[in-house]
Amino acid sequence: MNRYLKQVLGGAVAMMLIVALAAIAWRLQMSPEDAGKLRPRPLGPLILLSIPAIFAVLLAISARKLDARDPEISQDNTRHVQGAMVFSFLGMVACQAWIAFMYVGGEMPGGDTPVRGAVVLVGVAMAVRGNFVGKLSPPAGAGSICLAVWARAARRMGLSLVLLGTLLTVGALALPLRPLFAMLMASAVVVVVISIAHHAAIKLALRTQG
Amino acid sequence: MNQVFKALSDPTRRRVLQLLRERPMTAGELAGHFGSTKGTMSAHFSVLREADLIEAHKSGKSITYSLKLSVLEDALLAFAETLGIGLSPDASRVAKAR
Repeated sequence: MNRYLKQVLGGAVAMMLIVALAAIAWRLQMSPEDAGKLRPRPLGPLILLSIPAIFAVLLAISARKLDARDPEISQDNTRHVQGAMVFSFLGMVACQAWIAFMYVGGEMPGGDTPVRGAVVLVGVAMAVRGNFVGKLSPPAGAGSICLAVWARAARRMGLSLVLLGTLLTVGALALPLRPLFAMLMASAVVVVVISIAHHAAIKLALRTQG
Repeated sequence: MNQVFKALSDPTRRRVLQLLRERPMTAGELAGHFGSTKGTMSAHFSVLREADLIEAHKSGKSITYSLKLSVLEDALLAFAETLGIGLSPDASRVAKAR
C-alpha cells in the first residue's frame, strides 16, 4: 500500500473520529431541557467511537497484509482490494456523518430515501466487485495446489459477494429500515468471514506446496 | 465481450473450461481429453486466453492453465452449455434433454 493511499484512508479514519467526538461534545454541552427533548440514545457514543476504531484496525491489518511477502498478493488483486477500501472508507465517513447527525437530533431531509440509496450503492458495488474476484491473479509463486485452491476460493467468494450484493440491493428497495440495517450488519460480518476463509485457504495451500 | 461469446460458442472450448473448473491442468493433460491435434488445441487455448477466460502459468517446460472466470462469464458458460450452443442439432437436443 503506497503512502498516498495510507494518507487518504488515515484521513478518512481521522474524519470519522472528529465527527464522533464533535457529536458527543455537542450533546454533552446541551442544557438538560434541550437534551430531554432528544430521543435517548445510550449506545450512540459507543457506536460513534467504535466505527473509527474498527476502521483504524482494518487499515493497519490491510496495510500489513498488502505489503506482506508471504503470500505476496498479485498486483491486480492489490489494486482491487485498494479500490474497495477507498470506496468503503469514504462511504463509511458519509455513514458516520449520518449517524452523528441523527445522534444530535437532526432529521434527514427526504426521509429514508438517502439511506436506501446508499445501501443500493453498497449492494451494487459489492456485486460488481464480486463479479471480478474470479478474474484476479493468484499470489506470486503459487504452485498447482495453490492455483486450484485459489481458483475455487475465488469463485466461491465472487459468487457469495454477487449474491449478497444483489440481496442488499433488493432489500434496500423492499425492506423496512430496521431489518435492512440488520441485513447490512450481517452482510458485513459475512464478507469478513469469507475474506478470512479465503486468506486462510490460500495460506494453507501455499504451506502445503512447501 | 465479443471475444467471450466467441470463446463460449464452441463446445470444445466449453469442455476445456469445465475441465479446468475441477483443477488447473497442463496443456498436455487437457489435450488428452480430446481427440484433436496439438495445433487445434493450441488454437482453442489461444482463443480462451484472448477472451481472458483462462490464465497460463509457465513452470519449466510445461504450461499450466487455470480458470479465470467472472461470475457473469460463469453464468454465460452454464447458459451456453444448457442450450448446447455450437453443437450439431442432434447433440444439441441431447444436451437440452439433459
